[in-house]
Amino acid sequence: MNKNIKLSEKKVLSTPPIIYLTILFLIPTIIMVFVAFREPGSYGGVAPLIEHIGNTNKINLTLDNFKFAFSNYFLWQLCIRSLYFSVITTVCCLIIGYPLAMLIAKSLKKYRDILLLLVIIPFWSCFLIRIYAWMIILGPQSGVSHIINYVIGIMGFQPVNLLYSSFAVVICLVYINLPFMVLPLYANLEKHNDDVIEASRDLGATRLQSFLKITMPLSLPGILAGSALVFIPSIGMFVVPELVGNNCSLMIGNLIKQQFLQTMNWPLGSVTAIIMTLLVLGISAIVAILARRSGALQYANK
Amino acid sequence: MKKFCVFTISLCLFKLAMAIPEMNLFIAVNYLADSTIVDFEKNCQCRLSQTFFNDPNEMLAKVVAGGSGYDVIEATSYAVEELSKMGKLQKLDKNKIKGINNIDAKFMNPMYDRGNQYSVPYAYTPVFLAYNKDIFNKLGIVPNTWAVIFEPKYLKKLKGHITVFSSSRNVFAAALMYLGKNPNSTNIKDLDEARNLIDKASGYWAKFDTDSYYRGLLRGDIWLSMSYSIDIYKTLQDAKASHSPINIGVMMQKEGNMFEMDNLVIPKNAPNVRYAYDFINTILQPKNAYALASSTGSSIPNKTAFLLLTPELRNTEWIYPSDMSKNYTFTAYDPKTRILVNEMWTEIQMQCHQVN
Amino acid sequence: MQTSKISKSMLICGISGFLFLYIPLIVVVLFSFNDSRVNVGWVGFTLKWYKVLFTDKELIQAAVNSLGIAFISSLISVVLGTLAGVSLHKYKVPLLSSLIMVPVAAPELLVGVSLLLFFILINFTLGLASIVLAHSAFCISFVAIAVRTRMHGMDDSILDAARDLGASPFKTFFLILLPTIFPGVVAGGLMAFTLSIDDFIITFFTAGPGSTTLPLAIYSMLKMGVTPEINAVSTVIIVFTLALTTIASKISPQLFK
Repeated sequence: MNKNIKLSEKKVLSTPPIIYLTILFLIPTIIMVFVAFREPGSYGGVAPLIEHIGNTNKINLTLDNFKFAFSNYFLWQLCIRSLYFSVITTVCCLIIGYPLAMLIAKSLKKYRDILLLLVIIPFWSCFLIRIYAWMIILGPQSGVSHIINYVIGIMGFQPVNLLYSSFAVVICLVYINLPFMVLPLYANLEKHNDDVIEASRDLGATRLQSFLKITMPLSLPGILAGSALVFIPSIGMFVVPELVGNNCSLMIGNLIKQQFLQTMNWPLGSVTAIIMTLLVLGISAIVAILARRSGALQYANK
Repeated sequence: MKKFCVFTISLCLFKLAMAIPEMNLFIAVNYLADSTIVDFEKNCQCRLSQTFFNDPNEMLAKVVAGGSGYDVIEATSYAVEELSKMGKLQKLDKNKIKGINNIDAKFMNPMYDRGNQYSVPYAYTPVFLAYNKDIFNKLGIVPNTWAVIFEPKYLKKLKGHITVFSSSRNVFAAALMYLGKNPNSTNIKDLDEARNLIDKASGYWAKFDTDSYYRGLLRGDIWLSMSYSIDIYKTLQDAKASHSPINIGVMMQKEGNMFEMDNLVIPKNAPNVRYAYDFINTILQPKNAYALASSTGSSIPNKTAFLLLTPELRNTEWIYPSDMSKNYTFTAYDPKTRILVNEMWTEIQMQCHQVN
Repeated sequence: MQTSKISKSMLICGISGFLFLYIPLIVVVLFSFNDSRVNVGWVGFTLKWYKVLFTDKELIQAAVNSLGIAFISSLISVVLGTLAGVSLHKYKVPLLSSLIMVPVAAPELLVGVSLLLFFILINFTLGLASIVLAHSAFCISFVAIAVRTRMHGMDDSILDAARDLGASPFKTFFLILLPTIFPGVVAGGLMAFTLSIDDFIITFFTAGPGSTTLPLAIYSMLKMGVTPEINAVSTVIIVFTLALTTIASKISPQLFK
C-alpha cells in the first residue's frame, strides 16, 4: 500500500513539470528539426507548415536546405569564425579568470563572500549594458581610441577602428562571459587542500612547478565546467557581432537571426540552428573524452 | 516581506497598465511626431503602444510570423502588396476614413494597391547618398552617381568609410540602377549581375547599417552613407545644435533614386479596429501631417499640410524633389524571386570580403 | 599569517581582473551624469538624463512589462521547479532529469528560435503571455536545481517520521518538507526573477505587439548608438541589481555556493 502511495506521489510531483517542459521545450525543438526538412514557403517560412496541414497525404520533405547550407562557403566561414571566437574567448576568460578565482579562494574567509559578490554583480546586470560599456570605451572618439591611434600613428601605421572590429567582438564576449568562468573555478579552488602545495614547496618545488603539477591538474574539473559555461553561450551570440562587429566578424547566430527575422527562410534558419547545436555537442564531447582519457577527473574527484 | 510588497505593487501596476485599452502600432523608428501621439491618445482615450522596426523586411518577417495583435502597421509599397496577397490585411472601410481628400491625387491609387483598397498613404522617404563634404572636396569626388559605392576607382579612396543599408531591396535597387536596369527587375540575369557588383564592392564597405550610420557621418569616421532623408534631416539638426565641425552633404544620384512610399494598413486580425481608424484619421488631419513633416523631415503626401510648411523645407530638393522622373518606388517580388534574392542577400551579408 | 598564501603576482593579476570587471561599469555610471550628448569628455555634472528617463513613457512601460513578466514567470517556475526538484531528489525519473538539465546547457538562441516556431505553428499570439511561458520554461530548471541542492543536505528520515505518525502525503509536503527546503525555493525564485528580468535572447524571439521589455528597449536604443539616456537606464539597472544581489546574499547565502 505504501508503495502505491509512493508511486502516485511520484506522479503528482513529476508530471506537471514534465508536461510543462515537454510542451515548451521538447516539442518546440522537435518542430524546429522538422522545419529543417521543409521547403521554404512562397510567402515566408509559414507556408510549408500550412501546406502540410491542408494536404496530409503529400508530405514533401527535402534535404535541399542542408544541401544549400553545406554547399555554401559562407556557412563554413561562419562556423569556423564562431568556433575561433569562442575558443579565444574561453582561453582569455581562463587567463583572466584563473587568478581572480584563485585570489578569492585564497583570501581570508570574511572577505571571500564580498569578493564573490563583486564578481556576481556584473553577471546579474543585463549583458546589453556590459556590451554598451565597451561601445563607449572603444568608440572612435574615446580616450582609449585616441591614445592607441596616437601610438600606432607614431609607429607609422594607419589609424584603426577599435569599435566595429573582431577585436571588439572578442573583448565583449570575454567581458560578458567572465563571471561564468570565475564561479565554477572558485568553487573548485576553494576545496583545495593547501597542505599539499606546502608539502611540494618544502620538497623543493618552485611556485610555478607546484602550480603546474598540483593546482592546475586538481582544478581541471573547474576549468572544464567554466570553459563549457563560457563556450556555449559565446558560440550562439548574435548581439555582440551585430553591435560592435563589422562584416568580417559575424557569427553563426547572426545567420540564424537573419533567417528568422529578416529573410524569412525558416528552414535554412533551422538547419543553421541544428548545425550550431551539433557544433556545441561535438566540442563538448571532445572535451569530455579528453578529460576522461587524461584521467584528471578521477584524480580530482578524490 | 518588504520585497513581497514590492512584487505585489509591481503586479498591480502591471494589471493597471493592462486595463487601459491599447492601440498597437508597428512603425519604423522615428517616424511619428510626439505631438501626434498626445493628440491621438487624448481623442481615443487609449494608450498608443509603438513597436519599432528598422527594415521593412523585418516587419514583414514579424507579421508573417503570426504577428497578430497589431492594429495599424506602417508598410512600405512592396510590403503592402505582399501582405495583401498573403491575405493579411483588411479592406478599408472608406466611410470610416475622414480627410482622405487632403492627400495629393498623385499619391492615390498606386501601382501596389489599386484603388487604395488596403492602404492610406502616410509619408515617403527618398534614399540617396549623404557624404562628408570636406573629405569629398579634398578627394575631388562628386557623389552624384551610384558609381561611388560600386566603382573600384572610387572605392579605393573611400575604403572602410562607406555604409550601405542592411535591407536587400535598397542595395539591389542601387546596383540595378547603376547598371542601367530597372530597380525592380526580376530578371535572373540582371539580379546576378547586380549581385556580382555588390559582392565585389562589399569588401570596401565598412558596414551594412540602417540603424546608426548617421552617427558615423556626424562623428566623421564614416564618409559616405546610403541614407534616408529623415535620418539626414535629424542629423543635420543635431550637427547644428552641437556645433559640429563636420559638413554633411546630400546628393541625389543621376541614375535615379528609390522613394520608399509608406502607408498605413490595418491587419486582418487587428484587435481594436475602431482605434485603428481613429489613428488613420488623426494622421490625415493636416496639423498632424504637418507635425510629421516638420519634426521628422519625412516627405508628406498631404497637400493641405504641405502648404503650411516653411518654404525652406518645401524647397529642399532631397525631401521634395522638383523632378520626379528619376524616382522609383518598390514593387513586390514574386515568391520565387524573393527567395532567390534573399538567398543572394544572405550570402552577401554573411560572407567576409576583405580587400587589401 | 593566512594572507601570506597569496603571492604578489596573484594579487596583481586578481586585482587587475577586478578592475577589468568594474572599470567599464564605472565608466557607464559616470557618464550618465555628464552634461553632454556625446560620451567623449567630461563637460559637467547633470541629472537631466534621469529626468529624460523618468518622463519616457515607452521606457517606463517597458520596465513595468519586465517586472510583471519576471514576477509571474518566476512564480510559475517556483511552483513547477519545486515539484521537479523534490521529485528529482526522491525518485529516479530519467525523462524529468533530462528535461531539467538539457535546457540549462542548450544555447539560448536555440530555445528562442524553437519557441518562436512553436508559438507560430499553434497560432499563439506573440506577446506578454508567450514571453511568460518561455521564461517560466527555462527558469524551472534553475529552481529545480536549487531545490535539489538544498534537499541534498536534508535528513530524509524526518519525512518518514511524519508519515509514520500519520500525516498525509499532502500534509507532509506542506508542513514538513516545504519549510525545510524553503531557503532553496527562495534562492531559486530569486534566480528565476533575475534571469527573467535580464533575459534578452529568448524574449527577442518570443515578443510581440506591445510587449517590449526593458532589455528589448535597451537593445533598440543601442542599435542607434551611444546616447547618455542609455547610461542613465543602465545606472538605474546596475543599482537595482546591486540592491537585489545584496538582499539575496543576506537571505540565502547558499545561492552563491
